[in-house]
Amino acid sequence: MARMTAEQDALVVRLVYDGPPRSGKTTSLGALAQGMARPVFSPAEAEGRTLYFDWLEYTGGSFDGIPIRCQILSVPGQPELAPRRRALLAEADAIVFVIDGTPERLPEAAEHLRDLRSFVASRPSPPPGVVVQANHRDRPDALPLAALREGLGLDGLALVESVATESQGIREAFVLAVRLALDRARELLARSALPAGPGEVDDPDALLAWLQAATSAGPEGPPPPRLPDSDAPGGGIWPAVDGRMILRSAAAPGAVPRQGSDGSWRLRTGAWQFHSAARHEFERLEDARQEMLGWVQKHAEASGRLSSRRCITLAETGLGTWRLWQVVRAEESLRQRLGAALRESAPAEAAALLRACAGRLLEARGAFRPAPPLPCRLELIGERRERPVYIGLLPPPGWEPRAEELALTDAELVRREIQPLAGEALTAALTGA
Amino acid sequence: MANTKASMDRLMEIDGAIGCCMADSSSGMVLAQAGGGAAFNLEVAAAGNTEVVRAKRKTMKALDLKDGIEDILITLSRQYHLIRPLRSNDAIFLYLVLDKGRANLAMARHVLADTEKDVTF
Repeated sequence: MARMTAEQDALVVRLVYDGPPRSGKTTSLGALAQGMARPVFSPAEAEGRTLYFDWLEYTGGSFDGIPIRCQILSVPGQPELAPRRRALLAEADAIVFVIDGTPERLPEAAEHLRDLRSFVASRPSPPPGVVVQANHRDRPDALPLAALREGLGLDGLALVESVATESQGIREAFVLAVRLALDRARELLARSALPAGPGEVDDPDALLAWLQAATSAGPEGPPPPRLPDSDAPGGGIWPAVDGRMILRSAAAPGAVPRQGSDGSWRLRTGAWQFHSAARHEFERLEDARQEMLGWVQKHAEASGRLSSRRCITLAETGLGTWRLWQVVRAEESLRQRLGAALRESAPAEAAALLRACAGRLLEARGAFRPAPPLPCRLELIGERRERPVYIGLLPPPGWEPRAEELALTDAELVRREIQPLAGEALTAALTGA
Repeated sequence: MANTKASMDRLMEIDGAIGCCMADSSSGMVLAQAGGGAAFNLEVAAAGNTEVVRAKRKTMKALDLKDGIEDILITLSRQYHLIRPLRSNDAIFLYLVLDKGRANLAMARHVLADTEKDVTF
């Protein structure tokens, strides 16, 4: 989320207030806003409870001499609104986790914190930082700090005491969160991965529209996931080194994948195709990594028969989940080559190419048969060093050709694959089309 | 809990005090403030003086001084600006703006140092 503005005159960071219901998130934001003399925007509330988010914007401080523009949000805490919460957390540079530090609310806080830590661990590197704000410290039954630390398992997390209704401790928690957000921005800057330019969601109205689209599948279907980029998490790209180079080459800023009737997401740019199957969306990064291992194994087994410019990678969807993607360079297929030759070449040359393609097709049939088998279609076969290579998306593990495909003789295969092309060329020649 | 409000109130009792704040030198963000008002934006001042503190520390490091900043005094035509990092947490500093015509600089530095000792953060 952290980014420089298009004019490079401010760093924009997003801080998100999370925590169990009724722990004081909205009150904290209200107290912060009062101290900053800024308004809070809340799209909708029900009985004083946040339904979407609360939004506060504040510009101040200094990041290497330029101002810091903070977008400060609180999430809805109700369990039934968890998709909205996760979508908002997915964009955070730092998180203020507000808890009610009384004995009866401690188990609930501990459970929420475990969930948050698991979520943070699944985020792309560098993950957002977390500050714990222990609220309601004016209550006589507020637990001592040591008991809170132990009960919540706070190793490594900063803890700030607060009484949000009296504006105590609010600013301290906020400033600590800003520090963590700046640490994240510096890390992105060091990796040359800090984006610059206008943000897609830069005001509360845009955020509301985005959140509604992101968390409800409307008549036009679910929101598109983010495409993978070279910032894939460690262990989330294969091959590890070449994969990142491929993703840098394949980068398609602003491009949006489309969903097919089978639920998969696809995008074909001029030179690359991206594909993520419907079932390849995961709540947890670990589950996505596990699925990826099966695909890595299949790629490794088939590697000598595959076009080289391809990778498999994990990418965060922008909605708090993960997707497994195949990214494959669009190479020239035998079908494209033959089609062009039949349209443009003299009959003798075209006939020679027809023979050569038929030979390559049968060669591919033999090469693609061993496990893991690969589909043998003219549009999926390319050439490398005068040998056939598979240039399509790898079919899923366990894929087998149909029995009737296996039963085809070589002549029948050639007829099925090549005759339509030859027929089209002949028709074009006869009709002058 | 941090006792920042009491510290700010005490600094504002100094003769000639125009405004004061406690700021985080990592982010330039204000943690607490008093005074200032429309005539003196303490948030802008804190962000700007964060760069002053950083620059001074960088210079001291380049000079290999192995010392710490006790306070920084900036004298304008009509104001004194005093910066004092906390000994208990040098990422935080107190910032005090004084009217030069009304302030006793020695006394102000003494009260600032005394207040800083009591700040918990």
